Amino acid sequence: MRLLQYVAKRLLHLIPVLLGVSIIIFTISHVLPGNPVYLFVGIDTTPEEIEAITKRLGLDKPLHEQYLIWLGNVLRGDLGDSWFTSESVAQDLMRRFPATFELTTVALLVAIALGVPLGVLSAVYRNSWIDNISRGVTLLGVSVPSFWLGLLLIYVLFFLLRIFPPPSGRIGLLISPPDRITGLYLVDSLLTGNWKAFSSSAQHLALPVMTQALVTLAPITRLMRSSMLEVLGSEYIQAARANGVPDRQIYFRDALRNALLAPLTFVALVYGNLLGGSVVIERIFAWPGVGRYALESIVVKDYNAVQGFVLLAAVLYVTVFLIVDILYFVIDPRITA
Amino acid sequence: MVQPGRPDTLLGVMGLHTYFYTYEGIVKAVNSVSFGLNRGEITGLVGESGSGKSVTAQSIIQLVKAPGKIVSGEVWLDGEDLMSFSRDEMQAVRGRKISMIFQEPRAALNPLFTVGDQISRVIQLREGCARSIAESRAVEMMRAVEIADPERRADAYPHELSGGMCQRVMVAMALSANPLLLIADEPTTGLDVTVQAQVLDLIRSRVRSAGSACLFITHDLGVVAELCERVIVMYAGRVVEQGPVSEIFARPRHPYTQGLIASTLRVDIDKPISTIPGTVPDAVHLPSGCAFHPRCPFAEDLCQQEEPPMVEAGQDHVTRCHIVSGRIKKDMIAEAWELESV
Repeated sequence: MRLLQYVAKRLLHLIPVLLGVSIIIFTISHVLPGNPVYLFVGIDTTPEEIEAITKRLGLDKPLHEQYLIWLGNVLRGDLGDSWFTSESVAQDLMRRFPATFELTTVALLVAIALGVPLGVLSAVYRNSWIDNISRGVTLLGVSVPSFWLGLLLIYVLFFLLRIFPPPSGRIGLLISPPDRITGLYLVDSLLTGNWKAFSSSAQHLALPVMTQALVTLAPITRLMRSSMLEVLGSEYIQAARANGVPDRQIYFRDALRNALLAPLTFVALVYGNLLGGSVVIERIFAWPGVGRYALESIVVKDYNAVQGFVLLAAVLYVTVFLIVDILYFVIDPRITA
Repeated sequence: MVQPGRPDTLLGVMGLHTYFYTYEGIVKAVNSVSFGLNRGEITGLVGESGSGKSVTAQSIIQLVKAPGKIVSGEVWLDGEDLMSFSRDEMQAVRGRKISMIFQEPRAALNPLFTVGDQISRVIQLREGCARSIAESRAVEMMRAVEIADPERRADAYPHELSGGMCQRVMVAMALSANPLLLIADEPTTGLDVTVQAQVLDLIRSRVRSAGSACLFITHDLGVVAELCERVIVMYAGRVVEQGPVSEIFARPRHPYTQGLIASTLRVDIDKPISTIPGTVPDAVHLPSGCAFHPRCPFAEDLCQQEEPPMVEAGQDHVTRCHIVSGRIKKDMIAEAWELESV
């Protein structure tokens, strides 16, 4: 009951946020220099024809009128057509988003699965060999740019050692993707029992996931370590020890739950960000996700596509934060609705 | 004095040294501290902040935080040498034979678990009993420390309870063990006066009836006079005076103890409050000789050159002072403190 109330309140808060985002993104994309009309014209197009196209696209109307028309369409679920791909933006995004979602989610899960234990261990065994190794790994993770790391992994693990397939997208060139259910190749191939597609898409995921995970893992580990150290130094841990609670329970029951609170926000921030697509990684690995789509649309001033993309990213961002806030609400009894 | 042979001595601490290895240098937080605690008695451990009171307590239960380290010393509890215990053995002592109550009750409780959960877990750990039994024992303990409506309060989180209520929960947790030794580290500092009196009453009655010993750390001499049988005064990591409360309050021999007593506000006699001049010395660079000499109104050259040894100062009463030992021939006049304060 308390939880439902909280969620309802938070959902109401989203309305002004998303409205604000839509105004900002619409204004920015239209005010920036450049004219999308040139997408439709050749060298010999006359000024009259250009004017006709401008009129057809509705670009001659005042900006606020254009915004209201666009907003009306969005509220009806129509993000408009992409002038570049000539398809509906909603469909374009739906087709590409699963690729981004799959890569990001797997990478984040890997980063959490490694980063949290590594951070905990480096705090518990502070200044030991494990802390030093974790310090080295995380230093590498924060200081190495992802494009370089991606290229290095491709060079070593594909080109030299042939352990992983070439960076040719989500699945082998000669293997047909699994029947679409969710759009996530791993899930779909499992659901349809298509083992060939599963193994190929898993192998194709490996390198981009490694790249993304290492970069994400570094700050998660450091945050987890410092948060754990802070909690272990707190009075209630000292009190638990004074009451004879064994170390193992101290670490995993008393301390961990408290120590997870701080990195949780960071994970949400990263996830929300990455769901908007990682342009660099998607480019290097020829990954057909929304990040690449956004980049291509921005270059040609494909208004509908850019706006649709930003709106999607904003919705994902606030959704992730809503989920995290609900998690906090469940974990931490001090938070009230 | 420490007399391990005496049958009513429960805890004997001998030559305890606990140092902190900081970047600035070595802090001798506990420096050659020796004392004994008797069964059924509450002993006050007093001194200013940074005098080493809490570190002494942490050393007894071997929970000194880094960069602190117990360098040497003996701690005997009920005939057993705790310093020879392994980590696991020591863990079994904590929460069973020795319990501790902390200064900030709310900070000493885990914010993410209900208080009932926290008490019953300690009981379950110790007794190895079923969860449900531990839970009902926890409610019983909460009732024993006079928490009203304990069944409902057991489901509360620490932030939902008052400071006094949290301290009762800590007391319940500590006393559920029927410990031989209860260490209370300024347990009433943050509480209202009335709540403070209730918590003190609770500690006193439990310690007396159980025949255990209590080390009561405080900087409040009023509380010591009220509650304790014996008192240990620490200054800059050293015990400077110890003895029975009645003796020390009537005839304080160390100038620091005299200063502490003179600076206590009293309503029964009309006298100005005096203060001890100066501040607690820098822990890394302690003054030479007697660490108190820069603040002592009676100090002479010898005090600066030579550290005074512990000497008899009365019945069961010892102190570290060159004047008391007779090395310096001088009278300590009580008015010295009032003169200083004007």
